[in-house]
Amino acid sequence: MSYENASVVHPDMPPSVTPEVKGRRPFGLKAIILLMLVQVIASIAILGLYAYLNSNWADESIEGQVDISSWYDLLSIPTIAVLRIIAIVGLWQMRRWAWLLTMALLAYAMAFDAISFFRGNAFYLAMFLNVLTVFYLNLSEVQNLFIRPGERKP
Amino acid sequence: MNDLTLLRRYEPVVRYTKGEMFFPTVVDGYLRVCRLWMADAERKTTLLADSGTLTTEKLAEYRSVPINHRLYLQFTQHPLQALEYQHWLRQPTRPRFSHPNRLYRVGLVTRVIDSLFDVALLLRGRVPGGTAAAAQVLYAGLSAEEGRPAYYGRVIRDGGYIALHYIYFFVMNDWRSSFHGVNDHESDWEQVFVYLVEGEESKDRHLEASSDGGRLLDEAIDNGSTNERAEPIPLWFACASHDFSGDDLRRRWDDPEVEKIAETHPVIYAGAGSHGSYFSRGEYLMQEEPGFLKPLLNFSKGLERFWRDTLRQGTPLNLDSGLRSIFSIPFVDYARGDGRQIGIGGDSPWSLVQISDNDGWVHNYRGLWGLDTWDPLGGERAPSGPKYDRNGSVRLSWSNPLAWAGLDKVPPPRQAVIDMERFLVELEDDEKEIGAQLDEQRIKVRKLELEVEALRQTAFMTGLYERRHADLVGAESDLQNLRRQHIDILESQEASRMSLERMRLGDFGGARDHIQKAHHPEVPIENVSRFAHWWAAVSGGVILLLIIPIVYFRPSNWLLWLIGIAVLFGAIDALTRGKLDIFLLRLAITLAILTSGILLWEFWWLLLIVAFMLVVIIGIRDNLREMSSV
Repeated sequence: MSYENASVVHPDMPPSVTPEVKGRRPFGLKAIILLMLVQVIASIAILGLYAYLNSNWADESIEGQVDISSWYDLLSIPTIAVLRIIAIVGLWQMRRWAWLLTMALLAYAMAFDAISFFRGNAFYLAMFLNVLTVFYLNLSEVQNLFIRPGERKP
Repeated sequence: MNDLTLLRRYEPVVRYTKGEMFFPTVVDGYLRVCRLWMADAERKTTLLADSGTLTTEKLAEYRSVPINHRLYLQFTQHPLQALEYQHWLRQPTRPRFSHPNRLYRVGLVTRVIDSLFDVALLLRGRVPGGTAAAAQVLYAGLSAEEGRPAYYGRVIRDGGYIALHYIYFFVMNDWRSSFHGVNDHESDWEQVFVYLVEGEESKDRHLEASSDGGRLLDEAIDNGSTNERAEPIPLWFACASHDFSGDDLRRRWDDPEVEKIAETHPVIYAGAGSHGSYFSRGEYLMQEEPGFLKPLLNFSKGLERFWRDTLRQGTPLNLDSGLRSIFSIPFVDYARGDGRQIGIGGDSPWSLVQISDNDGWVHNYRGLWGLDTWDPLGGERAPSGPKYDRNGSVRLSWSNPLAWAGLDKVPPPRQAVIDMERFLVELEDDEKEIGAQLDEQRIKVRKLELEVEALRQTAFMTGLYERRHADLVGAESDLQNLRRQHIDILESQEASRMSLERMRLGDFGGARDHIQKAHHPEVPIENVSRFAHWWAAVSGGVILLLIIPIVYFRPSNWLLWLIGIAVLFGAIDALTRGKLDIFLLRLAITLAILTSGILLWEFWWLLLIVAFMLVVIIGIRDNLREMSSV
């Protein structure tokens, strides 16, 4: 019997998670990627709509309907969208940096949601989805999928 | 071997940290400089002896004071003023301490608490600034006169041991002012013990050391061809170290942690300024946790288990370390051992002065050996003498050196074998006695059972039956108790026999089995940027400077400002440690927990309904599975 083609199991990985399993993307991860994709599309749509409504072609009656009231919004929406695209690519390739970037983006989103809640504007669905995503990505077995040989769990 | 020779033979080698300014000395020169004061309850002071008049003989005359009065010495009459202090700081000959990295070792919250501790010092009684510098100037003059470093020694024979007591006197503890430590106080006493066993023990221990060589030596001793018989040998070594006590203070002589020079001189590493003693060189973090924290820590451990095992979360919450850092102030005791080394093979040898209860200055004077700052926490008050605690009671280390190091309960090896043999005989006797009682009780129970059975089958005797039945239940319970005792004795016998066999072979257990809480030095810090050190030094104070005006003026969104500052400082701190990823992760988890809390608060009723429906659905599913499996 030859062991030449036997796969090497990284010591940090639990025995059940072999590289074969690691190659597969779990449903939860695919759902998160899809959700982020929807968020990116929504951001692009908002920016596009804003650009259209502030252009000369827009009908005067609907002008100002999309409220991007500050430079902060104008800068943060595309920045977050770009970061989400990067995270989506990384998550699809199951890179640890993408896992961390997604966590950081979720932290930003949750901070934003928490502030909004205390100001009386609660986005409960977004809050629920964010919490679910954080706890899912932080599951031991999911974290292990993003750890490559030689890397350590944070 | 006389006491002096014994003390000399095992006198420790002490390695100090570079930057240390005070070394052990005799008290005579110190007393010459000191003034002696008496203070009443209202802190009104009376000068009893002026500088230049005190000697050990004169101090011995002050053996008592009126009720509610205190005695204390004062070494430095005039702490250095600002200009003098600056001049002193710039002196090229002044010992310098390098790379303090205390604050880099701890987190941001702890640094903030450290800044608050500094503020608290203003409210507590404390040794005035410039005292350590003035003490150093005076000490430099003294050490030029007194010559080489000295220790006080005494020998105590008790419980089969010979305890060699080494006592070191320092004119000043400058841990706080020179090394960013907990406290400063005038005068300092430190102590070290070497515990030997009487001559007869040496035979056994040589046997333990090497089976062949030991046996040969043993035969030689029996034949009287060697004079090793009476020579005591060392078994334990103990040194005073801050808040440690009992078993944790001592190390077995053959413990690899006990470094020795020329086989008989143990090495200790003294903390810079504090002079606390350590077995190994290094930097020791003093993070004492208050007692009330224990239940909180237990709760956090349970929560951690729930987080890790039930929720299967990969990143730990580390609540216990967080709690510890919030409720404890970190201080580093630098016992680097890179400075002066005193003792055999060192930079200078020791002078030895023997002391005992017969020395008046030791036995009679119960006052403080330096300035009394009236600090309610005690840390900045000078200690009492070698024999007494600050409250005037005799120190345990003086009255019972065995109990001090937890050795009162530990018989010397030969005695342990004898004690164990005696104990086994006692157990045998107990076993016989309990065995006889068991037989008797069994007969009694059987008789009662026969009687009860007879009464049960007889009409008109219900009352007697009930009484006898109760007797039977009681007797049966006694029988069970006896049986349990009997089993316990048999178990103890078996364990003790095995232990005796091991002892006879010279196996007295692991060298470190007795240690509950060993104090290990911190991992050395390497490759830390200047910015990281700078940040560690200023962050605690700067965050306080930002928080205080925000809390006081409360601008709009002040809470958001506070959170924002905390997150920003946390991020910078994490960045300096190269742990930004962990910080972001923990931030995300914290926010997720907060958001979960909000959702639970808002939708608890919906959650209850969903949970109830889920339980019902699972029940239906299980019922259907059960039906299909039939």
